[in-house]
Amino acid sequence: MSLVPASSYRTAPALAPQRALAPPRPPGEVPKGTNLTGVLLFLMADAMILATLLAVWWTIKGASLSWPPQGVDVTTYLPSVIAITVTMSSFSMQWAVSSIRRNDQRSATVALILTAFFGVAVVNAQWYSMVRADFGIADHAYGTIYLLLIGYHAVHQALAVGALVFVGARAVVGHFGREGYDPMRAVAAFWHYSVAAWMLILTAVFLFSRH
Amino acid sequence: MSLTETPTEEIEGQAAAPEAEVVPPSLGGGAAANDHKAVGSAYLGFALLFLVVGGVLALLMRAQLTGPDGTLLSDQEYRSLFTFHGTFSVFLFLLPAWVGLATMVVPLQIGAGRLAFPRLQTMCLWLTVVGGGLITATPFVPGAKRIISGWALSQPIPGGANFRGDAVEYLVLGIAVVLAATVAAAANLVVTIVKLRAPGLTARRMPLFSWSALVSGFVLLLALPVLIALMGMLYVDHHYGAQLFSGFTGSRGGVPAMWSRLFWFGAYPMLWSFVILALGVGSDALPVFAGRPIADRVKAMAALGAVGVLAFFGWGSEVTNLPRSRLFFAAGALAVLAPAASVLVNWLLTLRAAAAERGRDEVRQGLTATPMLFVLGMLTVLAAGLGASAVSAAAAGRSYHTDYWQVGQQHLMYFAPATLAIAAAAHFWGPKVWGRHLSPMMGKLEVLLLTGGAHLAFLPALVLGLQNMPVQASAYDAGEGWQAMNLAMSAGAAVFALGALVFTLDVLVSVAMRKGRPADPDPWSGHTLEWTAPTPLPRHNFDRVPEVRSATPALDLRAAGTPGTPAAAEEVVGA
Repeated sequence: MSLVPASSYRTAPALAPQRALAPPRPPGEVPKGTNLTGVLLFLMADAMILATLLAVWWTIKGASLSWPPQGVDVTTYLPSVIAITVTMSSFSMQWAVSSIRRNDQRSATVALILTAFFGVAVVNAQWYSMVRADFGIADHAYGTIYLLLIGYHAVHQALAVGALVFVGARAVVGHFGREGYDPMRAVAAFWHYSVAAWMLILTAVFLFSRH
Repeated sequence: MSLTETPTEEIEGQAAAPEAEVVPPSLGGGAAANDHKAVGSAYLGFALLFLVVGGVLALLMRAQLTGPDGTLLSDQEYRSLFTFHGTFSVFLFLLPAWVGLATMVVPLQIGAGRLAFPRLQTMCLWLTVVGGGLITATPFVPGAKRIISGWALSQPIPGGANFRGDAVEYLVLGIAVVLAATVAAAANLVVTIVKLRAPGLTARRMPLFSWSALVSGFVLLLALPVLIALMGMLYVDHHYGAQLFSGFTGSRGGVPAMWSRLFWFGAYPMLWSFVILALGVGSDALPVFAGRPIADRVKAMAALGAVGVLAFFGWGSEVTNLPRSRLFFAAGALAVLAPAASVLVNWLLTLRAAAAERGRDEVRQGLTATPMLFVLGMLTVLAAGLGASAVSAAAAGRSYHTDYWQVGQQHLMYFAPATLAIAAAAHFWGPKVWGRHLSPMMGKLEVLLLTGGAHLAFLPALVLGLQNMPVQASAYDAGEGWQAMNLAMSAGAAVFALGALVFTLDVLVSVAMRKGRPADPDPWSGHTLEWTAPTPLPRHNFDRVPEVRSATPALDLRAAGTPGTPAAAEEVVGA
């Protein structure tokens, strides 16, 4: 399989000589929480991208005569449905994590499928709101940054679903237990981040949409 | 006998025989095998290549400006070279050099056998190569003539759907790919430092170079994403004809003034991250040759950390249209200089303490070691850079940022110290990582050429700044009185370029062609963990990691028994 998760280097043959020499830390093994630390650092950098997009949003909003531009109708229905869905997905994600910690495969499977379903629904709704927007990306600065913000989140949510499916499959076949579920926690951190990101985008773009 | 044929039992428990054939980490096979030493070396090689490319462009520009009324290049050609010189030097020399140096040295210093995510670093290397390819292709793609705004891309590049697919998009995407790869590599290094330190190596005992990599890694993690987002938005502007950074504010358009503010918010800390790493190199190398630990470790760590934090408060000093907050940014840009200067003072105090403890003659002997000479040369350049930066900071947003003062300040503060730090690191850690010494004689010549060239090239630039020569001037009248300083600058640039060339040849001959003297495991009587590893380094770096009980574990071992050998480590800690 070509898609190899970062955590599977445990079996990488290149590190084998280390094993023979009994170094202080067992070969290829990284301390607990390494995956989670990596993802948290990645999210820190990621949050700076979102912060830049939001800074651009507020700067242009502050400088514009009419916001949103005339003819653009901002509805809060779909964004709110998305917000409720991502919130539910956050809870089902934690349910999955705690099930894996308890070694409860059955609950974990249900929770993971539910979370992935919520995730796909969110991506679907965002895709709909982007293609059905009554403006194009080059029509005005509002449209450009609107589509960039929604697109930023849609890409994250899609990546999160992909990572969830991959790591979730490992969880369902029993790769993780009470001690080693670091990759699962890493995916959960990414998932919760995209929930928080949507709340920020919802607030900036839809709740305080006008001057 | 090659390293791979050496029975592992022989490596264990004895210093490597100096006459053993040393196999430097190979670029292709090594990088493919995800060894941090090979990946870091390949990164450094890539950076050196673009140091040469950027240097050639600089020499062309200097040839144009050496005398008045230069006719070698047209105005458009000059400004195009000016832009690509900056782009290559920052994104394809400084950034890959940062990653390469840290990747090569950090795991060794913290007693780890690997990076936290070894394959990620290899992926970053190839992404950097891809991004570098896109950027390098830019001058040869239709539309390249319109890219004349300097590396800050400060005049929004003319765009619109008419120019879709032209050179601008190669440039913007290439920069974004290199930045993204650097963010991932920096995250990998930070995780490695946080999670993979040897037992006993607490945060306060961390080698200062690793500490500086941690601090500047965080700086890059926070600063570069801003630039990535900007490149993405510029791409959308250009490819789809959007107007975030063009058009008229208030109607359909965005806010053009936003570009330089956001750009410098990311670029200013990014430039300081190179200074932080250079200070880290000096803070680890200088005490070794002074023969004692650094004078005040805690203050050095605090100062490096403070540079990292304060680097985020001076960006506005580079922006010319921020009149209301000028005072704030002047204060921020001044504040970051103080801790940086305090590190230099810390180095001098270390030398003074060493002279008091060990006698002047002993210390004087240490001062003549090649890596030490590099550090001292870097110290003089950093001191000049700090002085120039202080004036720039006080003059936040004014003409010092649009005339040749800017050229002198940026090269003295960011470019020259980073180049000297890379050369210093290659001479200092090269024997450990590559198993071969670079040539000490060539090294002394390199110090002379690089340090002398930096001063000769960039101090006259400051004078030209005082004479109001604009940054983007592609020619000048004889009546302006700029000839003497331009001549000096060109001579200095040639000397510096010669130094870089000698250094590159030195690396090629001594390491790539394996002509250098084979190194002992601990050639300098080092202080930190990497000097307790065998040479040549095994794939996993350490057969035994000695228990760390202070900030200078190798010194402790030497005090207790034979220095640097794993056997001694075993005796002391009973491993």
